[in-house]
Order: sequence, then C-alpha cells, then structure tokens
Amino acid sequence: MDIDIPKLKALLSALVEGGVTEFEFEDETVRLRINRGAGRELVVSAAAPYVGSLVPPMTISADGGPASVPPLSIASPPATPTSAPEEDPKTFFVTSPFVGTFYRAPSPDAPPFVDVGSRVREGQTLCIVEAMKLMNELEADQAGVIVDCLAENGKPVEFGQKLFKLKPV
Amino acid sequence: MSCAALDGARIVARIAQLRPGPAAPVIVKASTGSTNDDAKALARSGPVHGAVVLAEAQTHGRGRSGSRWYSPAGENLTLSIVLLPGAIGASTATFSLVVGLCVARAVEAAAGGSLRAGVKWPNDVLVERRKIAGVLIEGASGQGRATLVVGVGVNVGSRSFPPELSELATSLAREGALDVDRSLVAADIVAGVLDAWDAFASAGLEPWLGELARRDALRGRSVRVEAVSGVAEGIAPDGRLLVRTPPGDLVSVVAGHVELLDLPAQSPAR
Repeated sequence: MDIDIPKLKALLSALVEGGVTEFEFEDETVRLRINRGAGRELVVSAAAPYVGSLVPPMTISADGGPASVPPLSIASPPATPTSAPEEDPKTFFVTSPFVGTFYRAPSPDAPPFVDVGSRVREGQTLCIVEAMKLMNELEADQAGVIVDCLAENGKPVEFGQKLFKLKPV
Repeated sequence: MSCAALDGARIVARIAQLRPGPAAPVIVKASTGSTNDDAKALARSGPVHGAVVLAEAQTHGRGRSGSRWYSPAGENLTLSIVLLPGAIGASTATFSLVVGLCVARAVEAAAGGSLRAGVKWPNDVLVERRKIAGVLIEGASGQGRATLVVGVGVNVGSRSFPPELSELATSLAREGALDVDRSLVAADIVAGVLDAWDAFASAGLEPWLGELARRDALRGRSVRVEAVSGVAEGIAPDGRLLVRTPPGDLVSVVAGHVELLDLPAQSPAR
C-alpha cells in the first residue's frame, strides 16, 4: 500500500500539537499506529489499563498488518476522529481542557450528569475531568441534545479530546 | 474538644491585615451541606475573586470522588475560597499542589513551628504520616468563563477519630497544639492561597518546585495509583507524580488516588 506522506505529516503535527502520545487507526486497507514515547516516561491517569511494558520512542507502522506493530503497552483513549465527512455541520463538541480522568457522574454511586438523548441547557454541567485532584466540571456552551458520549467513565482523556457530541436546539 | 466559635469580623480583619486592598465577602455559617457547594453557588450567582465560605459544621463534607470528609461540628476548619482564573487549562491543575503547600505552611504556623507538615501528592497535608488537612478543588468552565473553588479541611481540635480513621488522621490538638485560634488559621490559609494564586498566575509552578520536593511525603515510599504500583520518585516540573515501577520504568501520574502500600489500611476520607 502507499502512504500519503503529506497527510501523515499533518496528522503527526496535530498529535504533537495536541499533546497526544499514542494514536491508532485501522480500516480495510491500512492500520496505523503512532507512538510518541517521551523517553522512558509513560503518562497514566486513573484506571489506565497499564500492563507494564514501555512505549519505545516514535514508532510508526503503516504496513497493513500487525507484523511490525509492537504489543500495546497502554490502551489508547478513544481516537479523536481526524476526518468525519458524514458529520452534521450543525453538531458541536465539548472537548477536554487538559490531560486527566473523565467522570460522567459527581461520585461513583451517583447517576451520570447527562446521557445520550439528554436535552441540556446552556451552562449545564456535562461531566468532570480531573487532574491532580482539580475536579473540573465542563459546562455546555450552548443548549443542545447529547448525540454521543465519546469517552468512557473513569478513563484517561487527552487534551482537546472530544468528550461529547451535541446538536443545538 | 470545643474551640472558640469562628469569628467572621476577625477573619476579615486578619485577611485585610495580611492582604491590604479591597475585601471580598467572608461568609460564616453555623451549619451547611458543604462549603464547596455554597462557594460554587456563590461563584455562579455573583462571582467575586477571593470570596470565602466557612462553616462550623458540614452535613455533606466530601473529598475526592464524593468520599466523605469527617469533621465534627465546632472543632475543625472547613472553608472554601472562590478564585476566578479566567480560563482553566493544563497548568491550572498544578495550582492544586501549591494549595497543599499553603495549607502545610498554615498548619505549621498554627502549631507555632512545633511540628513539620509534609504533603502527599497532590495535596493531602500529613504530620508523621497521618492526614491533618485535605484539599478539594472544584472548577467549572464553559461559556467563556471559569471559576475555581478551593475547599480546605483542617483537623484542629478533634482529639479522637472513628476507629477506621484513628491511625490515618491527626489534628493540631492531637499533635500537641492546643488553644489554636481557628479564625486566625482560616485567615492565614485564605491570605496564603490568594497570595499564592497571584504568584502562580504570573510565574506558574516552577518557583514552588523546591518546596514541593522538601515537603514531599511520598518520596521513597511504596505507592499504588490505580493500576500503577512502585516507589514514588518525586514530583516532575509539570506537577506530575513520578513512580518507579518494579521493572525500572518511570511512570508519570496526572490523576488518581495515591494509596500508600506501607500503611495497614486505606483512608476512606480522601
């Protein structure tokens, strides 16, 4: 298969800019895995399914198969879509302000702030992202309906990662 | 042990003495659900940087992830400070560590320098491995505005704790500091946090790294943070906790509760 170098470069720039250290993409023709390990340091946040092996410095595999793909050392957060041609232009996203842990509810036994289908008003709390025990409530910038929840409760999220997709009302 | 009641006027006067300039409101409640909830409501209705809510008793005091904060009425300090950061980003979270230092300083000052306060990442304040104060910071951001509520709980006069906390918690009284004036300690914490915010807003975490290292109560200890276990190796310049895992890998941790593996049990109040 061919690798589109300009596209790959653009993707790498976006990942570097967003502070994303791992990225995986797979469709019928290509499997791409990017690992920007910062030396021997690995970033984890709550409940990261860490299994102990380390990320090597920058590994790129785009060979259509798993042969040269190293074993995953940490499960990737849900990949931010790089292109979404079917996306409804009227929808909007709420993104994470920093690297941290995503919570859908104020405490483990409380119901989630919102669910898919919830109608939210401007300023309504949608979720909490925690870093260093700063529990940051993210509020809806405008009224809307939750179309999709794109992150998993209790799991790490990256800076700029899309957390909710909303449709304005 | 019961202490003298919190005195709003003295708190305001002491803050004004430490930080001359326009005064923000100080609200003292006999009892409330949670001072953080009150401060959050205050921040929503008419945000004022530096506004403070204190309570003699909290019926729903809490720590991280909704865990309960134990504090009998009239003995300790529970207060919440409203800050208006403009925006909340990656660096804002590191102020959480700075608050731990501010509270550690205030605890030492309240005891007249007779004890040494350490900080368990990110901001639990410990004396001899027991927790004497806790911090919970709650932010809200959206619609182009941001607020932070810095909640602080300090064990001042409590001499006894429930059995499950007895080995894990301590207080100024238990450490021998009696007759502590809670109003003055409250004002010291508020002024300290506001001064620290001013400094942090212009210079970030860097100037605090030395004190963070000096007060680091975790370095060299066996810890577990969620799925990562190892030995704590200090705090990185970006505020993350460094943990060396048994295979020798250095892992940097940005969120999660740190469990001490060299203690008999885990604190339910965190």
